[in-house]
Amino acid sequence: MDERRRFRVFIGIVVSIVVIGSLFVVGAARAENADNWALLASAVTVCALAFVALLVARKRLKEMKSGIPSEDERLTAIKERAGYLSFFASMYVCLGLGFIFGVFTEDGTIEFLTVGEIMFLLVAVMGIIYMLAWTAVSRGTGRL
Amino acid sequence: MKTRMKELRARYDMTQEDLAARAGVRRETVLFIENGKYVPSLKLAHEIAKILKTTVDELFIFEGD
Repeated sequence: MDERRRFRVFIGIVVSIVVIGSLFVVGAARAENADNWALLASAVTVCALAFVALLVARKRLKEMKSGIPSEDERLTAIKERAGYLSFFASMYVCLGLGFIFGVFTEDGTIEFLTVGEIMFLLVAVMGIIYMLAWTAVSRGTGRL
Repeated sequence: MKTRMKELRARYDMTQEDLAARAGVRRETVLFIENGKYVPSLKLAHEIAKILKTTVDELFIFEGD
């Protein structure tokens, strides 16, 4: 599969995510159920992420048409470094969150979250850490 | 690491975009190399030196040299 076709497939997937996410948001809002906040929040997050991905893909496609490579050795190096940093940061943050949940749940300070809510929270935290690592590394610290 | 890329680009009346297109990289990569914030691979350094009609050791000045 050539690069241009791969991008079209990627855009197709992203558009599908936006549509499905929007349907979830509409469905959750219509249900008028206060317990649906997690579903609503996750759908909004997915939609937002998909929208950003769509913008990035559109920009990349435009660049590709004008002959600019979508990826080069610096971008590959950034991905590797950001992935490495965010993996360790996420691991410690997840351990910390587990500890906090453990302590506060035992003494009854907070009500324990459901597995779905915890998964959503952890994935969101990992995503944010990766974005922060990407931004820090891509700004160029000379350590790439 | 310091570089003479800017000076040589100006000599050949080349923009960062021109150089990036000829070297097959993104413009940001050229910008970061020029500012000394990214150390290119030997392959890319050689490619840039070839485009700017010079050698790698004349193009890049490492501290202590």
